[in-house]
This record gives sequence, structure tokens and C-alpha cells, in this order.
Amino acid sequence: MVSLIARITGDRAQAEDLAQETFVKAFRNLAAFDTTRRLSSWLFRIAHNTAIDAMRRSRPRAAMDAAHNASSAGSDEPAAPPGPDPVERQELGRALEAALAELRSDQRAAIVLRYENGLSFDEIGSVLGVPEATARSHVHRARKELARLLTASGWAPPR
Amino acid sequence: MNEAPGNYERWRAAEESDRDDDADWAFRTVFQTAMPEPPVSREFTTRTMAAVAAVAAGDARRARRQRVGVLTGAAAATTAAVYFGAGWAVSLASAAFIGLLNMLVAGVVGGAVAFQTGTGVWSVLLSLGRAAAALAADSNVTFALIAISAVAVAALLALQRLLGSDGESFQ
Repeated sequence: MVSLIARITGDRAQAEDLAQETFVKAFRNLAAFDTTRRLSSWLFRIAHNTAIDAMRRSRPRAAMDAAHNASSAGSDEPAAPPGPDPVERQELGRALEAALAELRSDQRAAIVLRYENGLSFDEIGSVLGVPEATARSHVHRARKELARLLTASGWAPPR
Repeated sequence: MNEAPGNYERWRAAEESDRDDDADWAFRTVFQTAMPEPPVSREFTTRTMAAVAAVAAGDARRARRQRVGVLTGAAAATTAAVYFGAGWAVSLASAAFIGLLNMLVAGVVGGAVAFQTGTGVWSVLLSLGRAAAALAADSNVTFALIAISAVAVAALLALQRLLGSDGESFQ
């Protein structure tokens, strides 16, 4: 949950506070939880809404800007094709993080929920409050956009 | 552990050729290998549990205050009602009692007359019905019945509210 919030807001320092806020909100609204659904999806939904609210409260996101600047600086010099080196893996991670920060918040959340938290499209839809098909489309488009951004920052596709 | 770059190529290739399922699978591995979850501080669980406990304690205090408020209000309202409305209530109660007594006497007399003169059961029931109608038509009795119903409904609502507060504080 901390990870989801950190990736949505781009602010790791604030993520734990927001996660704590999420648990408090969940505790307060426990009576509203539909027991036929998964608890984790419900918690992720509250976490997502809390993160979005926090982003609205503090628009300028220093961390995101820093990541963006890092990605812009990196784009001057094309990166080497990815090899089995831990350093390159870290570089790929940084580039991916910077690209992730460029996505729309709903697409970013969809990517994190799908590839970090391992949620199905149906569950992602219920977290984001959209139909399953829209969740699938968010993930698909976000992945395409990430590929485009990575290419732009020097992580070209293999030939 | 060194899977990410190989899967990166696989992902990009799948993405280029629109093989969605392959891209989905390969990107999952790329993401999980290249982007480890941010670490969570050791105090996070303790702080979160403390925050939830504080909220629970606050809610319980609020529920208790609410319950005390309702009880105090109800006690004050009852005292005021007894003080200001005792005379009225006694007069209403006595009117209702007399009305009930009249109905009873009318019923007994009607029954006795019917027994002496040998009239049927329907005549006895008719005289009893007349006595009951006379009782209900008395404005004092009607008002007393409405007042008793209102007090009963208020008591039920207060009871339900008190039980609801208990439930909330338990949660």
C-alpha cells in the first residue's frame, strides 16, 4: 500500500503518512465494507483516493519533477542496450520510474496495481472505480506509453 | 535476478508486435525486477496501530458523551414533564379510569338485564360496543391514549439510540 501511494504521488516521504491515513479511514468506515468483495481491493481503493486527494492538496510534486529532470538529463546521452548487469538494471529502474512519473495518475495507478500488486483487471477496475474493460485499456495504453517514453530516454527496443 | 534486461527485450518485442499477453507477462517481470518496492520504516506498523487505537478511543469517548447527553436530556425532560404536567396527567388518567369503569358497569348491567329478560348474546355485545364507543369518544380518554402512545414511541427511539451507541463504541 505504501508502495502504491509512493508511486502515485511520487513522494516516498509522505507515502507512509498517507498509508496510515488510509488505515484510519478504513477502520472508521469498516461498516461500509462489502464482505463479498476482497479486503485488499477495498483498501487499495481507499489508498488510491487518499493519494489522489493528497496530490490535489499539494499540486507541485518535487519528487516527480526531480525524476522528470533526471530523465531529461539522461536523454541527452543514449543509454546502452540493457544487459545482465545490476547497474544497468538499476538504470532501467530509474528510467522506468521517471517514465512512470510522466503517466496520467489513473494509468500510473493501473500499472502499479497490475504489475506490483498483481491485481486482476476486474480488481483494478473496482479500485479505480471504472469497468474492467477500461482498466484493461488503462494498463495497455500505459504500457505503450512507457515503451514510448523509454525509447525517448534512450532505452531503444531491440532490433 | 538478472532476468530484467532479457525480459525487457522480450517485452519491447512483444509490444512492437502487439502480442498483448506476452507483453503483459514480460513487463511484469521487468517491473518487479527493476523496480523493487520502496522500503517501509520499522515504526510504520506501530505508528499506524497507535493512530487506529487513538481513533477508536476517540470514537468510544464521543459515543459515551453522546449517551450521557441523551440520558441527561431524557432525565431533565422527564422531570420537567412530571413537574408541569402532573396535574394534567392525573386528570387525564382519572378520566380514562372513570371511562373504563363506566364501560365495565355498563357491560355488567347490560349483561344482567339481558340475562333477566332473556335477550340474546348479540344484544349484550351491542350494549358493550356502545359503552366502548362512548369511552373512546371521550376527548380526555382519546388524548390520554395518544399521550401514552407518544411516550412509548419516544422511549423506544431513545432505547434504540442507546443500543446503537453501544454498537458503535464496540466497533
